[in-house]
Amino acid sequence: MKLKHIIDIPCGLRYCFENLTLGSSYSRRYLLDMDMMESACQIRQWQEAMQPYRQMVADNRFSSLLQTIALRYNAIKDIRETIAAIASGRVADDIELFEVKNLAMGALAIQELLAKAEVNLPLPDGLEKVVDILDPDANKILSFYVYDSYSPELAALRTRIKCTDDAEERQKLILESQEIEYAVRQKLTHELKPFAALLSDSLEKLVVADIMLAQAQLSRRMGFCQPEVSEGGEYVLKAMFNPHIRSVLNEKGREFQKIDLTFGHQPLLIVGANMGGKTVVLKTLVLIQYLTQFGFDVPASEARIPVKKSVFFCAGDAQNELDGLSSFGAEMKKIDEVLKCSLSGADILACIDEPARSTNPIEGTALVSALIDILAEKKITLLITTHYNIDSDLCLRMKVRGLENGKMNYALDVAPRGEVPHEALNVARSLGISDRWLDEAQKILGK
Amino acid sequence: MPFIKEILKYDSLSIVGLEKNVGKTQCLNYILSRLPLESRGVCITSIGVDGEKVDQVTSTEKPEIHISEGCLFCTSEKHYRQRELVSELLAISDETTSLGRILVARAVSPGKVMLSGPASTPALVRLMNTTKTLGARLNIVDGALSRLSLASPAVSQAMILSTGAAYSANLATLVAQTAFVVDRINLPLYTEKPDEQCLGLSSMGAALPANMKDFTVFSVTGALTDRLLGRIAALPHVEDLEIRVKDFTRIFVTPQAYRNFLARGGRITVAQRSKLIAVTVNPTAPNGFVINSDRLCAELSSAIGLPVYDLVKNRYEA
Repeated sequence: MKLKHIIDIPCGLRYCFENLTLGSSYSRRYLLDMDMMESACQIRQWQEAMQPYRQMVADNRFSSLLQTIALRYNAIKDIRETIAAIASGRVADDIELFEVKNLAMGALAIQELLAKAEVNLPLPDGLEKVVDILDPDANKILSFYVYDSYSPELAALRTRIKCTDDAEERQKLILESQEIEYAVRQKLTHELKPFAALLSDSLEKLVVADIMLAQAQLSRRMGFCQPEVSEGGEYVLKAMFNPHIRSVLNEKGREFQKIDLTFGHQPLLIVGANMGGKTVVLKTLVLIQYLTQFGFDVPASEARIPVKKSVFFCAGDAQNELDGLSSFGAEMKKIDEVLKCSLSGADILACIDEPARSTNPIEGTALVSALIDILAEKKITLLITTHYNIDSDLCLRMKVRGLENGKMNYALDVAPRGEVPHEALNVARSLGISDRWLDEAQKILGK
Repeated sequence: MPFIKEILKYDSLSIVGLEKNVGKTQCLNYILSRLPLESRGVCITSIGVDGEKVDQVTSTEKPEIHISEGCLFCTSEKHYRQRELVSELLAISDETTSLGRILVARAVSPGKVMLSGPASTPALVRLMNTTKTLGARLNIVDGALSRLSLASPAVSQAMILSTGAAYSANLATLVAQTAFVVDRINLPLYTEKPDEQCLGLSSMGAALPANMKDFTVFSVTGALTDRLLGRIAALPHVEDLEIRVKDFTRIFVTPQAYRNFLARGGRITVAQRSKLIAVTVNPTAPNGFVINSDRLCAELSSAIGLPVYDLVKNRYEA
């Protein structure tokens, strides 16, 4: 599973990605094309490599250095095709040779800049040689052409071209000089060929460093924490929040209430009032799971996250008339996918928002209860939000605190078995819905 | 050597032709060959494709752009590979065209090059910012066919307008139409007064506000069209009215409607204006028709109140 395949799942992942301050345009594509890490060991390695960048970002002395580095990264482009061409032995033109020189000089410059903050970027040896080949006059300036010093013959020809007034003669000399230039480029390409693998390697290392630097900056700016990757099945999340929803609320002058959540292998059933933030809890958990497995820090003050093979987020309204599916049909198909995947024994996280909500409560309750009974025995972390009264011993039940003095408290508490909360009318009243309608409903409930 | 000193006062200049074959490239070559040597840091940029040997539309012969040593230029990958000069590649910009990415280079030896540039004005502005960091102190933009938008003050501070028999073979029409463009370029700037009531209008809106007659100052977002101008001109007391637009490239009205409004005392003002340095003419049309050069220069000059030059005929000395 690559980042680009899941980035638009509606959990706020795109928001985090777009807020990364990546220096190179290639880093962006590289990250989108990255596979999700599926082992705890891999994630820990990434986190460890990120450590120096984290320290650098946390140190205010380096803020202007970070800008300089970003500027240098701007010039780092995806030149894999050029490198492949050189490796294949095709004679490179001026533009391609410039790209190679730009990469080699840029990589060394970035390495030097990072060293100022005691960050070690381990580039392969030999980039200096590449620079030497393409900078025969040792100008140390980022520019390239077939310099006179490559060939005395070429230098002489160029002087003659300058002095010639005769157009025909000039044309002849230009053609001659172009042939020599080609021979020089052929020689340069040949000299560069053994360095092709080293150049690809440098490019990748540079880009990964850019991504880690951006991730560390994002984490600091947004108040994220480094998640601890756990082997067991237990999730521990302290003061978790959804950065996208938080920014939308902040724009309206409101605060995001951070939530604590701890649960284990047992299916977790979240019940509570409408507008009580149940869906947001699911979205945030999905976001945190993905962020962890793509090497990011997570929006919480403390987090322990088990690694999963895949993540499912079934968010209700997947109606698709074009496929001939109603919202119920689309939902059932999606949940069935979760079921099949878990039956195959894969360790997955499944967050299902109000399953079977669009059918009658009797059959709906039966469907949800059955789902929990089947999945409880499987190696799967299952979160379900519901308004149905699910009477099952196999799941942990949590309830949103709900309206307190007309204000919503989004905190989650472990709740005993029993009736689901009846707060829909109160919530509707707090939204200013017509009294006539709600009073009438109250009367019917009273009967 | 007319108007060269004037150019050096600005850090960006665009050369705009009212039609193909009006001598725009001649004008660029004239400037490039006469800019004093101490004014290093000149960069030539273009919008669209230019510098073809033969005109792609009318098949007439066209002058190539001749670049001197030390001059910076921007062109696409394709045209860079076809250049007839030695040049040092300085940067590969992020702007791409159908002919490849746009490159910035410095001529190491004098020679000829085909120019091509980004297709949009925002991209052109970004490119000009890049060339500034590479040492360009004067950016000269060579415009493609009748692209007035690139002469927008948002892109360049100063401009040169090229016109000629290719635009119209009738002397009177040519003078009138060129004068209309010059009039718009020279529209006065407006100054906002603290207590004034200004009504915002858009030609995109279906219905105009009913309270228009209560205002005397109208600020037009987007284009000023004939329809919008007609509605404003229909208000009483035209002599008190002022229409504000962003710059002259936003005015799309017929000369009749424009002159009518101004003649009745109305005013059109702009937020930004660029300095029109000179007007050049090419009296020869691609079909071979020739207008008398001296008469054209004299009549146009008296119509617009600015000097007009025929650079080919007069061969001004360097």
